[in-house]
Amino acid sequence: MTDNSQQPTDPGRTSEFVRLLKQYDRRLAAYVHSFVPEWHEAEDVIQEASVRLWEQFEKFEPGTNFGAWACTIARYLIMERRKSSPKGHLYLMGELIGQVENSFEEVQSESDFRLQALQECFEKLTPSGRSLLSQCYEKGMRLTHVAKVTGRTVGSLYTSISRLRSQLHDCIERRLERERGQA
Amino acid sequence: MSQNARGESSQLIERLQYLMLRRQTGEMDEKELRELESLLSESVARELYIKMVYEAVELASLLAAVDEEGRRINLGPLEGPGVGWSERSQGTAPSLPARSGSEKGLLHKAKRSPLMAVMLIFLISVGGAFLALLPVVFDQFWKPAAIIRQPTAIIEEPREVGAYVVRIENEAWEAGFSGGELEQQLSVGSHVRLQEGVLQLQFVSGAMVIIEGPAAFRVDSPDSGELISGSLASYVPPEAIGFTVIAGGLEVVDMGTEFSLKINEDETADVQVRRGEVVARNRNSSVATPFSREIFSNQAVRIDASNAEVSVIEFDGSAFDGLLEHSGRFIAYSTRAGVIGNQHDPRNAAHGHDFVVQQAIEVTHLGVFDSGGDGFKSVLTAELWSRDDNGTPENPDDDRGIAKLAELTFTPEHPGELVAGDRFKALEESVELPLGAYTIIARGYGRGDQNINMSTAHLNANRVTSSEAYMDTDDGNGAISFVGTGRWSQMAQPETFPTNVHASDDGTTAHPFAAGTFEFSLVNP
Repeated sequence: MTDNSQQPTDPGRTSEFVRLLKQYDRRLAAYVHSFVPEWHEAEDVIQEASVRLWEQFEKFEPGTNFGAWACTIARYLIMERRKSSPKGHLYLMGELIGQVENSFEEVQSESDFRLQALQECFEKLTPSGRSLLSQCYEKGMRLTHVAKVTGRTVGSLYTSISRLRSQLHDCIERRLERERGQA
Repeated sequence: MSQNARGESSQLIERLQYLMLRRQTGEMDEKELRELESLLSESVARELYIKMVYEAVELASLLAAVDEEGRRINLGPLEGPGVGWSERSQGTAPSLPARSGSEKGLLHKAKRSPLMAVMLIFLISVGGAFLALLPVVFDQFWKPAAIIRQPTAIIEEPREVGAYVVRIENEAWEAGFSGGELEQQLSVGSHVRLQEGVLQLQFVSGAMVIIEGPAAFRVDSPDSGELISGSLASYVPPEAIGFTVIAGGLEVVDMGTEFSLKINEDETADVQVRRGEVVARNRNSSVATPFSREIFSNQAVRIDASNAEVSVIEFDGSAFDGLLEHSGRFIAYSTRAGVIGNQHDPRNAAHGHDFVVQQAIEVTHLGVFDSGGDGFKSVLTAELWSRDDNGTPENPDDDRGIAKLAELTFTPEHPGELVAGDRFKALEESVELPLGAYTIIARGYGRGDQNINMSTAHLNANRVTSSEAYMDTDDGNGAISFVGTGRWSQMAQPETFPTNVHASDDGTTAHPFAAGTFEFSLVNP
């Protein structure tokens, strides 16, 4: 049961929370998806983490790094979830946690550029490629559902979607490389 | 980065993408997890993995925001149609943006949206105070950043559509096919019977098929069909690899290519590959004489599936007429398959063709002529330049190169993909050409590899007097025009724009060489 008495009631503080959560929600999502297998399960953890952040926002010290604080809370939730999840054995754990967290900082610094590049690169995919990715996400990454709708085999969907995402990744990297060169 | 390093990196990226997708779909097994952990023990792979996770998350946001047609789309893990606020509740208070998808009811929304979940708890706890905060909270979302999660709208569950009709020319339908309208949906199982004319289908998988009457065809699934009689030509983009066409006892599986298929009166089938690779095999693997045959660029075979007889036949490029154009792609200068060069130029000169862009295009591939189609003995380079016509477009003599916009190298080890008489490689990133003057250049032809020079008076063993004898050009429905008379320079000026204007014997052709070429599409088709 949640103890709602800890929640902030100051309008300015609430507004600040919403702003920060919006600013860092992609980082939080990426952090959770890095460790938690299965899209739905990761999304559940993200929801839970967001609520926990709200509950504990009184303890957050303004001016410090909200993203890092959010990820710390998410890490504890991931560890809790791992114990109860049937997929717990597939969570990334052990020393990899620290290693992945360290690598996060560098990527994060470019995330706004990456987002912009992603938009541009997505537009460069063929219409059928865009459509396939849309269906994949629309079905919550359940490729068996996508296979049923599209009439394609699951195996061919794995190949196509991996390839499309690799194309996007390559395109984004090239754009970032150009951006760095111009900086 | 070296080619080897790039290749290794590319393999790592594809493997990580695959493993990440296996995790996200919940299908990853222990073995794959061990492999992922092993890969992530290296910092390079770790950083790649995080970038890819970011991309997957951001892609979800992007797709949630708006789809390509401007509709709101549902990204949630829903079984049925999603119903969101934007169309359901116009005129009432807005909902907070959803992270992924939406379901009916506030509680469902809270489940799928972190902010909504937070606000729901907040509403319960502080009651009326929340109402006072609404304007503050919602203000955050009325001024969205580049991408925010938007409310979603009603999306119909996709029907079992296999393909769409995208072009009809001079059609005459046989009885049994009810329709033939542009953009008509063809559900799985639909039959097409065409007495004459041309019908173009776009499969849901992305594959494109052009059927020429008389022919009969059935849509079997979004990525397969059956040619019952007649002939077809198909273009299969990378995302539709695996597209399959059945013809009698034969099954042709595409590996990313352009191929044609024709059923003959004696029930043999002719398979031709203009580009890429297909695998032709028995439809039923339990037959007495099973076979599987790979067919590559510029190859053509006649197959009798009943006894697994395969014979080589002459490649007929006309089977692909219109295929490129109707897939929205064009090759500016296309040398015919098997053409042999006629110029052994020891100077390794650069050869260029001028063109003018009349409607913005996007160059996706560069190519060079491959004499005989048997690969290269030396290193050739294709370059795309912007050109300053010095205010005198009718006089190429005073033109100067402005900038090299793109360059690709073709080597004996990595010759590129053979398409008719040229080899192509995809640019890492396509180059958009606005209206203006440009030149395509090829360097490196010499003793190792021959080019064609239409008027090599002192060198030509195989004198050609008309470029029409060996080359086709495609202006992309008028998007580009071919100008000038060709230009060249010597090897001693490897990085410079060739300023010597070719003295064509008849002075009329704008493309006297078989050398550099490019593939393009229209920016605004």
